[in-house]
Amino acid sequence: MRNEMELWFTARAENERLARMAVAAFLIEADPTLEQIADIKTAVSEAVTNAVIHAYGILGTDSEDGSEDGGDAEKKERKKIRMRCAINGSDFTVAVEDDGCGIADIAKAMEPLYTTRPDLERSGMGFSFMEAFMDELKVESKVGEGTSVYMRKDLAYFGGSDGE
Amino acid sequence: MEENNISQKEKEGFLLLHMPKEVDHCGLVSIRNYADQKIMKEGFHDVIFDFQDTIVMDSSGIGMILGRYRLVNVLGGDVYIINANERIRKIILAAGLGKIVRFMN
Repeated sequence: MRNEMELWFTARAENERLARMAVAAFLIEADPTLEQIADIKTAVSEAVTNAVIHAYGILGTDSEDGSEDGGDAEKKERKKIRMRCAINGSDFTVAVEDDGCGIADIAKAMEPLYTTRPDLERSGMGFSFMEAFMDELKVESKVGEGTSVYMRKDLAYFGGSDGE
Repeated sequence: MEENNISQKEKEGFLLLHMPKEVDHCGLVSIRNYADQKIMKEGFHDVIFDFQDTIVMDSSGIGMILGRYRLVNVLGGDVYIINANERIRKIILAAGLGKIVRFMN
């Protein structure tokens, strides 16, 4: 089975849930295990949260930062996150891309427990979780242009469907 | 609290926090505010995280647990985890929180 999905959404904390639900819905046809769905949802959640908080600097929820009554709404409108998913047989890939501030030192950013925002209780475990829950993780970034996070998972590995 | 994911049982001075089905950065905002209010203003020093309903958790859950631990630790309190399934338990342990939280059933 081959399938693709591309989703653009506004960079809002509330859309972390949207991204997880969309990726789970996309996966259903590939007959993944519950564990695999949970793994992928967690990894996607990490990538999208990074884009919202770190790439675009959106620190709160809508109700918190007052954008529901026009505060940051316009600013957020221009801040989009793109999620691309593909399934080819048992091979699942997802890319989460933003046009945010970019990462100067990717290796440093990927170190466990390293965070630029301890004030927000970011644990510094985001990339570690993505690595742990997926089979492959690649990060590309340019300062001032944005960041792309590519992740892959073989759904055949833990007894999931082998697709074809 | 009107938030459907938060309910509270203040038995024996423990602050019980019901974690949502999917723990993420967005959903934790209101729980964090609620918890810190209880800890700072109402004197709750022991915090119980109840993961009964939780299926998915990302690293924001780790930040949440660690943050509350730092708060109550200086007040002489402890952090407990209850009803965590195997997966949530593994995530918490993998993040190195095994030494600072206590698992209970």
